Amino acid sequence: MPSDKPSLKVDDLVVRFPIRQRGEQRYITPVDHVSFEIKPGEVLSLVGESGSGKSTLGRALVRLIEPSKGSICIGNNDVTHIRRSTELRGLRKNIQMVFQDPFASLNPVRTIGQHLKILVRKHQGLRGRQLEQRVIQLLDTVGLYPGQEVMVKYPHEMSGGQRQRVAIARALTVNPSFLVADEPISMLDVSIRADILKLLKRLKSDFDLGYLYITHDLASAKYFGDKIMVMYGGQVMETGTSKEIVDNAVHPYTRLLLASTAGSPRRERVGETSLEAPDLFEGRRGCPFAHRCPFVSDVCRTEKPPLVEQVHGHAVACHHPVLGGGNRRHDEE
Amino acid sequence: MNGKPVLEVENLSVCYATRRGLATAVDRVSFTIYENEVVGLVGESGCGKSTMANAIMRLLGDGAYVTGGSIRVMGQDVYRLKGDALRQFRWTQMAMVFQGAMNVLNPVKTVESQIVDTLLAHRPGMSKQQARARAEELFRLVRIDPKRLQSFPHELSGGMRQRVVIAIAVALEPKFIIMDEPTTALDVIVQKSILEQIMELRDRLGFSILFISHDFNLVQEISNRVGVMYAGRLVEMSKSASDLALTPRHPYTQGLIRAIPKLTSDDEDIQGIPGSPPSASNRPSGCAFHPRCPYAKPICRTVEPGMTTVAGNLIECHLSEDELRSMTYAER
Repeated sequence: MPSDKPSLKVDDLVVRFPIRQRGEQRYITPVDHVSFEIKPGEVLSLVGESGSGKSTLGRALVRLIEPSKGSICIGNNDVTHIRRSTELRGLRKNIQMVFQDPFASLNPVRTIGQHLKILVRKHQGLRGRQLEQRVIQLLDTVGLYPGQEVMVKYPHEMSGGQRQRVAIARALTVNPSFLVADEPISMLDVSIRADILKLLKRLKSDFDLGYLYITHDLASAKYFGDKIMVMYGGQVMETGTSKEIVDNAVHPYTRLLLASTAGSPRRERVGETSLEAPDLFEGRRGCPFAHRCPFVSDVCRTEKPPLVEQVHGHAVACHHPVLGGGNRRHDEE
Repeated sequence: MNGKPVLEVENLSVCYATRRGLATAVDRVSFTIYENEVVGLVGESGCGKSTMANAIMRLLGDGAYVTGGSIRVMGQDVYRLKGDALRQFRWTQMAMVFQGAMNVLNPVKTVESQIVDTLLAHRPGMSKQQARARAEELFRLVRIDPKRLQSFPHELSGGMRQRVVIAIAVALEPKFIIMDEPTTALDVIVQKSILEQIMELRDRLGFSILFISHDFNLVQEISNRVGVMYAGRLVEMSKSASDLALTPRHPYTQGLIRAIPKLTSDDEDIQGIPGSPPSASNRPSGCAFHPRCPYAKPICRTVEPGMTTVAGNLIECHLSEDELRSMTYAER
């Protein structure tokens, strides 16, 4: 579907943090040369385990963190290094964030109505009756009704799922083009998760919203995402359409993830894996996954594998992609 | 495969005393685990699964009371044990792996001294040297380099800490181990690797497991039988082990499965269960699931369903066998 809305383009993004270790100043790079694009109405699922840099990347997009290198552009608007509050406010009218913990993201002494009214008044300048109407309409959009009754409730009177809906309504007040949803369902009960995912999916088509959906769960990444990007140790390991990644993954890490996911068709023995977290220090060499990879060779420890497109839209960063293994690709080449 | 019963829970009720009166966390639950069995227990937060685990271990905190029923482990009623006898029984006959290995280990002691302490407390005749040797052996068993014995918990990764906790649980070769969400806080790959190890240990040492989790797929995969808890009740449980640990029949269990996206299907429709789980102090009348059940009939609102057998499952539901079968969601 053609759209007049801009795309979100991230090019060669690097985020680095200083850390002090034994009196020595060092840097880690939780996001290490990452590029991708999200079109309006498109969902990119970002999959990775803890320490992969997926949340840092999400926070950099809404500019809660300033990147060190690379660029983030919305349409032709480069927002990588904007600093002024007016500019940042402008950015956040375009891109909003939904956080993981709906218990921590709402103020316990404010009613749901107050939470939303502040935003609508500030961003849309509505007052009085119009203001209330808009708030009720927002609550209705996220499936909370009757709005009049919901507005006077406090966060503690609502369940986790309802609170997450309020958090989503808050993000929608500014009519953003993009949402960064950082594990929006992982704190919720299993029976509630599906409806929140479905709500996000409906908003995508109703408002032509683009998402960066951050998760550690491949099944929901596939359900919601048009594309999946797999990160490890700050770098992109593999990216492609959701179906392609689940059916024809060639990166050893993605395959290990698939083998580890309960209910996966590729569920198989994982055996011993290194239990160490990836090295994030600046100046590391080689592939971040090398220390756990079953196919590791010398070149993996010294040279970073480039992200190479295999078939249309399916790119892999690996010196030894697992071709064959029930895949068609090997025969074609 | 029914051998000797290892755990027999009969009509167990556990209540919490709150300011607003008694809240029933576990409500008349009965089930049995036999030798060499892995029984999975699934439920959402607040359904009473962890409370029940603590009740079995006699670890209920202040304000929680067993108000009815009995628990026997290896034939011994655990609530008749007193003082030292309970302490001895606890780690030699039954052990527990808790959720969150971070908070279980003492941060100011090396992991070796924690294993050695456990051994010495329960094996009075054992010398310190023997205990150290045993600690090394246990580390090899859970495949951690024995050099790491001198580490403090914070020096180990989450996966290694959980392995240490498992090593301590099997240290005295109990016949029954409760695992309460043992892998929940870990990354999926480490999770899988630890599960594989738990199963290997079970094959080698031959103990039974009560495996508590909120992840239905996971429990289905590793268990011989599966039970499902909702609002303090055990609403469904497979009667005997078969190829599939549990073929879901209860409307709640089927709802849970429909709520989980699957990797296998291409174009699927997931469906949440409307409403949210009730709190322990405010349980609905009749069948506790009726306000959320799409198949609820008038009787469900007023009369509590009894336990019946439907297609090999013990099930608490007013619907008839035919009704339950006809709504069964695609069996996998």
